[in-house]
Amino acid sequence: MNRNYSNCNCGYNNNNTSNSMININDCTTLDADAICRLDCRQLKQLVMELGFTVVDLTMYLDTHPDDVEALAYFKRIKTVNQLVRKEYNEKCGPLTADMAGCDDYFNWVAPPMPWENC
Amino acid sequence: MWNYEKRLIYPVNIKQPDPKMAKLIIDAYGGPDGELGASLRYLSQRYSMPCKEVAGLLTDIGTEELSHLELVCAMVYQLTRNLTPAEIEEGGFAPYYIDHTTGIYPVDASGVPYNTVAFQSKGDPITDLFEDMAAEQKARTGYDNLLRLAKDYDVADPLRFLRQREIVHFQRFGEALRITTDKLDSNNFYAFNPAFDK
Repeated sequence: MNRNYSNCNCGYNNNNTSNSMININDCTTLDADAICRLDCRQLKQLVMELGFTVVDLTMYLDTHPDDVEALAYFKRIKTVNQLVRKEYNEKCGPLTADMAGCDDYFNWVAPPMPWENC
Repeated sequence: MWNYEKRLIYPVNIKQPDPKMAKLIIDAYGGPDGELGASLRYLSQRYSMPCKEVAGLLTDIGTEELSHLELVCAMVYQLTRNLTPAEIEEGGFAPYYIDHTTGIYPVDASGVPYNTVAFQSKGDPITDLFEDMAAEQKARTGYDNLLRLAKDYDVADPLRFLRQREIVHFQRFGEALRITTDKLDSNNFYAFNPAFDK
């Protein structure tokens, strides 16, 4: 039986990414210019990975609210996460209903839904 | 208050439908140790936690469990796409299909609908946190069992993610228990219920 569980302790498995995808370890150094140049596939990957990092880190900080290193990491992730989400909302579609396009069509309901293939 | 983000917490891209696997994986949605029970348990318990760090943690983990139940449902949805009646019967999926077609409905692997008796919210922080630690281990064992039967990488990958999250949650609940007991009399943790007695 092959128990090839991920080495990463938090659960996120970065092994299944192709060359055009971004290494999560480098993404905290991305600036606004670099983020503008990303396509929707890369932005979607980043939104997922950064979003998950926030979730996992939040839980850790809930029980370790004074951990200096974790707080500093949260600060860095927060900045790049906000930039990536803003770019994703503008280029690829709304992540939350309050960011929906409302000019002539309410694009919040535009397909695909998340449970259809990524 | 809850907001919805139009994305999954982890990618699910299952190329090969498999109703046999769907029937097993749906247990992680509507089974006694599944994500629905987990989210309701934590989101219910959080109101009677005097330590705000613990109330915050239960809120955050409960919310993550909601995103996990979405992941499980996405897997079942993708595993039951475009099935012919013959495939439904061969996959042992016919009983579920009679009641729900290929719709999503919370049941366990035997088809028993979700039941709230699977969890407790006892209103005592120590009791509730031990319940939560046990819940995470039960869920982890459930994913261990599913992973032994999941041959397809596309299916095993999100299951591995979910399994790892159970282990991390268990760790966090252990810390929450320590935070709670640190504030109590170390000679007798059970002297009073900090959520009830003043």
